[in-house]
Amino acid sequence: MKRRVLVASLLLLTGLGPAPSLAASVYVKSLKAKLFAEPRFDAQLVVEAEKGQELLLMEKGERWFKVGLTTRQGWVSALLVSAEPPKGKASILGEDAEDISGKSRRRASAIATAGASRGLTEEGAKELDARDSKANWQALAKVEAAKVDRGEALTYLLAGINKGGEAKR
Amino acid sequence: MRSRILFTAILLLMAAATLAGAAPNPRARLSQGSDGQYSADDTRAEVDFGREVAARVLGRFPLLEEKELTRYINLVGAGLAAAGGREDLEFKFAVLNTDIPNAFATPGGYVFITKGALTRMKNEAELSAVLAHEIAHVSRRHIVRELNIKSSGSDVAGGLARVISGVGDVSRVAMGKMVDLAEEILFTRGYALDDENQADRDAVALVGAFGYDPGGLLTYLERTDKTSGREPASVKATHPAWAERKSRIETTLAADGLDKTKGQDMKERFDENVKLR
Repeated sequence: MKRRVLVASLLLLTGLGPAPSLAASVYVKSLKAKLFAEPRFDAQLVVEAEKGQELLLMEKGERWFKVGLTTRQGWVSALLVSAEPPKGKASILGEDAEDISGKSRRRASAIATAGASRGLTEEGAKELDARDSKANWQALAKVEAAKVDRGEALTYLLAGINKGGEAKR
Repeated sequence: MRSRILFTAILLLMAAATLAGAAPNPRARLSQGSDGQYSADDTRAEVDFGREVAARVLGRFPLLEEKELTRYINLVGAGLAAAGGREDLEFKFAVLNTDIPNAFATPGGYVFITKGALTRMKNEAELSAVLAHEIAHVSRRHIVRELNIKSSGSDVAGGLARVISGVGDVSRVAMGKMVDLAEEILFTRGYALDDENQADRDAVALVGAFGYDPGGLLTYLERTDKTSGREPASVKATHPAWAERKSRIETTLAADGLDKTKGQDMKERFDENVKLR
């Protein structure tokens, strides 16, 4: 309660409040998204929308949105759409990232990379590393190096599920 | 706990005030983010912070370095995240080499699943449900909201970017305090009950929408409840009691029309890629 009061007070002080919510359109994030006649996965299928397709937002619930697609309308899971069309990510592992996997002598550089993203100097990053002996930045670099392309992943997932479904028919 | 959060908020205010006279951070420009309340700079601050927490997770549990397994977990997780996660993040997935059954996610999209969890799973539907649950914690910004991690130029309440970019003692103490609190959520006290329930609801809906067996979360958690203790950082220690949780998941399945849906369990592909027995 105290925290809410504190946050609310600070929001008032800074002039920031909740942003306007209801957008005119939403966009399909998945390769396909099913529109149903009712907000249930076992309801009658109306139509399938494709990735990136714009849907007219007609009613916004917590878990299901009622949307229009050309002349048809139906309910889509709120998880499968976003308020904005696909755009860039906020990854900090872009042009300034480097692969340090397996090279312990470059560990400080990895932390400097992380530090640079925070605006820290390399010296400051070394201090941070020395201060936080409980962290393992080298392992984190390996985790980041192993990431896969989201399009490839989506295709892998759906292809496997579709294949499994066909095999059972 | 609340007094600690208040203390942290006050510490952040002090840090922001201390750094207010410094040159403005070029990244602190307010811009439109993935939802109306968060800017792109907030997301950057979240990723920076999430990296710190993820490095701590890996300091606590060793990384399981099995290339093919890691790639499989990434393909399944990133596919789910591409369809049902936040667009502004690149999710990354890894396996932790511990027999404690659990999964963890840090802000910014770092998702960890333990070897102990994988050895208790029977198929990909169960794996997907657990990863989807963690993706939901990130996408819903559960830790971000609880710790009030924001970064816009005029937001002194969050002001994490200024704390992150600062090099003074106050900034370092504030940052360390925030990371400690995130660790406490992950390994000791768990998320708020409402956040756990929301993550469960999102998980079953997402795997159901994909065509997986939507009961995967139930079967995995039931098995884990029977075969694990309450050791620190375990799923029992950091999640709601199983009987209550089961009832809520079943209610969600029925409400979404998923209770009678079978879906695919993808056992064959899971067995081909997960050989940890």
